[in-house]
Amino acid sequence: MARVEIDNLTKRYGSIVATNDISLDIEDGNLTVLVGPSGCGKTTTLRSVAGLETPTEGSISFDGVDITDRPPQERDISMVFQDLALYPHMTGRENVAFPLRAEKGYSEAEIEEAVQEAAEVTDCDRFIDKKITDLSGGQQQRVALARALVRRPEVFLMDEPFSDLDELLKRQLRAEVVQLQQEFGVTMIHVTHDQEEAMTMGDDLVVMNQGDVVQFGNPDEVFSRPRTLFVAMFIGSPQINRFDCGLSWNGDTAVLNSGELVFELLGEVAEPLRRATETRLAVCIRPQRLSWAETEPEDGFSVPARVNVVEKIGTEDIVRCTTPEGQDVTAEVDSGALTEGMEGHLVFDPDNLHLFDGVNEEAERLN
Amino acid sequence: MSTTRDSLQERIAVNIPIRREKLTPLLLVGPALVTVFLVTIGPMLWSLWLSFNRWTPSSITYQEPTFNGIGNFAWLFTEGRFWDSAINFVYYGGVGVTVQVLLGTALALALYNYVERRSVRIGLLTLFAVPMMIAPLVAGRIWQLLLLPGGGAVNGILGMVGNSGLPWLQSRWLGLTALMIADTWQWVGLPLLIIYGGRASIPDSMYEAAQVNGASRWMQFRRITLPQLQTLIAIAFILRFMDAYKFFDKLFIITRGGPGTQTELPTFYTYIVGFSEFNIGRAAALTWVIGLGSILTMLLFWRFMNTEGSV
Repeated sequence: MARVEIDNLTKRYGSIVATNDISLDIEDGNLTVLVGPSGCGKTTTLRSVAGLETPTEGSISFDGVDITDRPPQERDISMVFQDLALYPHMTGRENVAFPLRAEKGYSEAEIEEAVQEAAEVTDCDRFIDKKITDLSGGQQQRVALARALVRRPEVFLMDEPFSDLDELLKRQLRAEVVQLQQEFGVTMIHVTHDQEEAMTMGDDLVVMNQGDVVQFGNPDEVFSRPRTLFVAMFIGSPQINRFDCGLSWNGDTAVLNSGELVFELLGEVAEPLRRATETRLAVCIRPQRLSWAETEPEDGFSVPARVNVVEKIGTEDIVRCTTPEGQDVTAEVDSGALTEGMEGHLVFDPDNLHLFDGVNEEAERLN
Repeated sequence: MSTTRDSLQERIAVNIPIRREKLTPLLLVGPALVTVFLVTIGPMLWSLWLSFNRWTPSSITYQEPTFNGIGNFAWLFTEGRFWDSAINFVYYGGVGVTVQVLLGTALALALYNYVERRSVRIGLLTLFAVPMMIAPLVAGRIWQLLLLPGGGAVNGILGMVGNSGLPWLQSRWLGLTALMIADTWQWVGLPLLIIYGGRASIPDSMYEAAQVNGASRWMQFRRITLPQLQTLIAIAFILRFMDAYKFFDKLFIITRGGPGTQTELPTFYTYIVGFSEFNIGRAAALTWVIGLGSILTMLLFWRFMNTEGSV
């Protein structure tokens, strides 16, 4: 178990900057998820921790010991790869035993025992003696986990290991990995592009974009207070609703005008807008924070909308709507409440708005 | 299920005899089978029959083939020249092919692991492949000239480093070694290409996983690279062995079996018996012994490879 510190990590490939001056402090025993779109630098960061990439600048330390220049063999880590990287010419058991054989100094009996234990906790003892090529995707996944766990490393790294699995298996394995991580109290860094996976697994999320860490915090924080417009758009399903509005002031009233919709904010809600430096702002609201009204509420905030598509997801429905001028708005409402073709208003509380200073990805949160 | 029943019902309905359905495919492949029989299996069987006959068609009093039982084979096993050629083959085939495959493997792995620039790698691969495109006779002539005792480039270079040079083509083992060098120069590219392809198809992540798992470079080679290349190495061995068994052209040019008959290989000796002495029966017996020998080698080899590992 170790605390992982990444200081000013920069990795350049020629003129391409994969990670740009990243600093992270990952607590001992935490499950931290690096999440972001492809090419955001999350995998490069993980591989730098593993020692598979040499940082251009910056350092990495485990428990205060600088390990930047150590090869992977001397780092006391284990890793599950995106393609699992199991050795196809060996059985599952030989794969799991491999790290112990590499480390030397274990007797055959000790290896046997450790492999058996790892196989049991990852639930793969039934097929551990089969050849890798005879195993299903989910079974291979479990063998890869067992191989990573067998040596009880200080730091456990996962590089999108679930991306090829079907949804059900994915959910099941996520839960099992979280449980194992807690049981062993190991420090785990997990990389994924799937924001839902990040939200469900992580103690902490590190949201990355274009080589930068955009936000570091627990899932609730990231969801309810996204630091930039990028985070707001990336985290959360269905995606957040966004209206790009011009800002003007009418006395103490901030007038946000999207061309079609006009929101007038007053008092405390409007206060943060005084800090705006841009003239056009992104005004966002989560689909979960919208509710339906047949008629326009007199003293409330609302968006006129027509229901186009209703997607059933169980106890809730995701309804895809458009405003009269064609702007898309998504809402999550109780199942069966709305049907296609209905017209009405989507009502929200201005306290739930996310306001960003600008309309590009880097626009920072105002409120 | 329903479709098979339907087709059966149809068949009953229109009353097609089932036997004809079995005959049609035979009729379709028939011409090809006849051709194959005429050009390969037929002559093979004929040569088998000849190997039990005495037939010297060029002698002054021409004789039809006359059956002489295992006479040809009996002669063969008491003929010192044949045994010499067989021993030569053990040296040439055993050592030569092993060197070629191991050298090719080593070069392939070195190219893949240590030559970083892709363009340089491709260039070197091509360079190693070029000799394979040269006619064996030409390659033989080149090496004959290079190995000339006086004035040959090889001895010239040896001379520069203070060696008085070697009498390359004037002794049995040096002569065979010269053949080996020439053949290796020409064919090392084949195992090289095969093994390079095999190595390139092992995903990098497998080595990264091994590093993370703490494996040293030697362990990575021993436990990951080698087992996954094993089948390809076996294939390279077999391909080169096949060529070694029929090795003829460069031998014909470089040593012509000499000095004397000392560097003869079985196929070359067969050629002498068949087309110089025109003892066709004996030559046929020789080809069958060589053929059986090659099959035996391959079988032993596959067996060895299969017990070694399980790819």
